[in-house]
Amino acid sequence: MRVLVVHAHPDPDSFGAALRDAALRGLTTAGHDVTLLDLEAEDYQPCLTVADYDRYETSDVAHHDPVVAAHIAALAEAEALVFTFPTFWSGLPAVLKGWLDRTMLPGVAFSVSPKGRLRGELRQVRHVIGVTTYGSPRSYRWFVGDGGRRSIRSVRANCGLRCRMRWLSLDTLDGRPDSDRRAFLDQVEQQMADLS
Amino acid sequence: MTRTLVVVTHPHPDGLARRAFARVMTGLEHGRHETQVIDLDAEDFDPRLTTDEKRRHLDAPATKPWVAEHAAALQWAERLILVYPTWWGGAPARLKGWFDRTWITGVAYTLPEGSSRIHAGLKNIKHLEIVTTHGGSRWSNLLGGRPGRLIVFRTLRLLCHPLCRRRFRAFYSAATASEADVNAWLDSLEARYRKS
Repeated sequence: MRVLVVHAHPDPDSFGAALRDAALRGLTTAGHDVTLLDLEAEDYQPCLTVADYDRYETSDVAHHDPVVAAHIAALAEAEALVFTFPTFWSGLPAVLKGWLDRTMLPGVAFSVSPKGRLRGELRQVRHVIGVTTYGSPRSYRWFVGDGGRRSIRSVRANCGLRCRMRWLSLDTLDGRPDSDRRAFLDQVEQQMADLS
Repeated sequence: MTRTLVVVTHPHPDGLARRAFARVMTGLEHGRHETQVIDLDAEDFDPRLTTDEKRRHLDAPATKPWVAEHAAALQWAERLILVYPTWWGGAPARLKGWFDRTWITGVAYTLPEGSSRIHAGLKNIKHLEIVTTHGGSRWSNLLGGRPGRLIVFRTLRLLCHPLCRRRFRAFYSAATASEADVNAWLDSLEARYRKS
């Protein structure tokens, strides 16, 4: 299976980076064909430009930005999407939010009928997986909700009917013993290795 | 005099959120307001946390000179109005990153030693308002779970005054709306801000 891993974390030596590596290990062990987009390492620019906005609805023309064009090509081939990121203020980090804004374009991720009906175009995607950490405890999310999870679910909404979404998360990150973090790394690696 | 801070983002001068912003400002000029504006695109605000910023995210704001101006505006405001287009259910990357980089410890909250619970730092903000435009319909956005609204009205609101009031002024189906529909909404928006 062709798997696209999109990773966003500002610190290359973080637990978030270890999660990315655990996911990559699991996927490679299972023999999947893995493409990694490490957005921070690529120095990815997440804001739509004036030119991006001007051509937003012209999906028949190749994207003018070679970085975005490469991401679109990787997305179009993927049968599974894995997002690894830290949760900031209950949502995706800006870099990952901007990746959705710039890459998930009409004609790529969805299409709009003349009457305005939306249709998902990522029908080849069978798995959408979010891997994240929260600084806050679980009770906090009961109260304020989980914007990041909803954002990733909106990616899932543009995939095929049989696409499954998985959510792997660890809360109260700073208040945990190392054993909990190691267990979570193992869980992520195992889940990725079991993907089929 | 209500101290009003307006934060706006849209990459294109002709974007609908830009037109909405202009009408909000016209409306506000008629009331008794003292107004400050942060135009994230005009400032070319970079929404990406740097590695150093992430590692030192609990350090005092005095050690982060780049945040001083926006932090002062946040601490001055009684009313915060966010104007943006809704993309993938929420604020564009530039605004999400503004939350991530500006609503930091010592500005938006304090984290007492040894506690995992943050304390609100922006009790000066008594009104939190969103003015936003959606390409899709109200229904498709409701189904999407509106993560952007959740992040502002739940997560960020907890950092404001405990009785902080929320207002959501949204335009839907912009992709298929007629110019007359758009103008009617813009007129009503301006009228609301004239009265407020």
